[in-house]
Amino acid sequence: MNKIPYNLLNEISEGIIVLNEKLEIFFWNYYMGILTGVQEEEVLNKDVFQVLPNLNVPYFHKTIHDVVDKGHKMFFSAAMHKELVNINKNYNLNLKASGFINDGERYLLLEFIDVTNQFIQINRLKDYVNELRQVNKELIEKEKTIRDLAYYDQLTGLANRTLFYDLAEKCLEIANRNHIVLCLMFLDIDKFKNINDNFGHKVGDKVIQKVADLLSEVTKEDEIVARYGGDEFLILMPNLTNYGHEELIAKIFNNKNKSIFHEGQEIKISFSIGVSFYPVDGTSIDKLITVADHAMYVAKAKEGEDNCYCNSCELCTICQ
Amino acid sequence: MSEDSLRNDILKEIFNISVGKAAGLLSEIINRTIILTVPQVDVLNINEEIQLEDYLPKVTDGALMVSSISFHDILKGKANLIFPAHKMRTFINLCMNENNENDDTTFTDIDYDIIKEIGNIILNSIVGEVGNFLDIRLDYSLPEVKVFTQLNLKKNLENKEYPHILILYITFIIDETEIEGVILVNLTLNSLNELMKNLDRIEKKLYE
Repeated sequence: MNKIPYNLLNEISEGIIVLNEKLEIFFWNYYMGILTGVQEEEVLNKDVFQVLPNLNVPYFHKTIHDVVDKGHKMFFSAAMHKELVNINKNYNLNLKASGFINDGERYLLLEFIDVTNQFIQINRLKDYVNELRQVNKELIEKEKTIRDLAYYDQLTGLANRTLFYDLAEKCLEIANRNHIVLCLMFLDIDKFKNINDNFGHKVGDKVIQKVADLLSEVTKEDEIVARYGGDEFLILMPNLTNYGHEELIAKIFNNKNKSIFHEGQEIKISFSIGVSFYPVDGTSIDKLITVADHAMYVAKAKEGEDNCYCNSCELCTICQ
Repeated sequence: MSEDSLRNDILKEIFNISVGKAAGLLSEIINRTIILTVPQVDVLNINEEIQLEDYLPKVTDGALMVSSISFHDILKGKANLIFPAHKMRTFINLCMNENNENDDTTFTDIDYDIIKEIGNIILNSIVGEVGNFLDIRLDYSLPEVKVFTQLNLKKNLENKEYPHILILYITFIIDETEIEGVILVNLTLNSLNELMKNLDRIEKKLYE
């Protein structure tokens, strides 16, 4: 081989091996010495598979023969072929194999391209992306918690006053546009102060939770249940037809789960419900709540348990 | 059976043998069972106002990953292995034994190198088979890997220098994952004529 190309190959920062047709090492450049710790004089004329035993696998033999016999150019990626040249040094090397003819003799060129830095950088980048993904996931969770805190009642999981107003405004717009009747119920637990005084606030909280579960169970998907504050709840029925409010009130009053047990003692729960209607009782949410609240006090003043009062519903059989 | 469909069937059989060998080699490298089949072969003339995308039925959505090699000498042309990019992400993860939940189609240089190796093995088997069939030794490059949109790929493929396209539909099965792609071999008129002449010879032998 001419002296200039020979020196040139020694200057290249990639490992170069030239094999003869018998797959014996004909040339081994300086950089191969760096990659393997083995110098050219130690490997010249030796079988390549003896010098680099990690290449001594059937698929490599086959592809090397395809390069020699059929003129194929082959590429082996560092990701799929680890420790190609030296198991003790953690190099990541891509390998290109191609053939050439010089003075009628066939030779095989093996180029080992060091991509270790690429691997380090990409792995760093992957770690960084994974960290970012994790941070992003945590942020989304926090955002959800903040949203929940802003819109949902922490004790019952029901909509709070803010969310109720948001949803109710939208229902009111639809009702106005489509000329439909909307019903609002103001619901208060009877003698709740006595429950708190006699059994403590923890038991009071359990009663509140029980009522929230009960109301969620008896209402339909499009009906909005919210905790208004203390022992007061709101229910909005966005499209009232065929005295549907009476049906719902009956479901609440007749529910079998209207009690909780504390230390073996049954604590019964009863309600006073005030009802207002859009548009007859008011055209704003505030007005409808005020009317329903007053109606609830009328109901509370009645004798016995589980009473209701509708402000504008003389024909309402359940309120009598 | 029409002349064209018999020719396509002969080509299909020839290419199935060669991709079968490529699958064996790939299975050995990644130590998993890989099955490669060519269920259909077509020859298109892009001057005949055909819509190339009509022939790429299952790889038209989203980004496409393309490995290409050029070959010259007696036979001149370009071979492209085309797979949907998101499917290649799954495949790369399987090759690297990574249970990566991330299925985005952003590829690193390491990913490109893996596809380059796979493209090298598969395209060598196809182009090598064409060379064997015509009894010529072809000189060809290592693959170049690129990600294209469908439109860009169409522009890239419709090269007037190569009016004929040999289409091989290819199915890649690795473990439970099946990936459908195509191999497009752009050929000059002379190259196609050479190929057809050899096919005619085989056909005649069939009827002898």
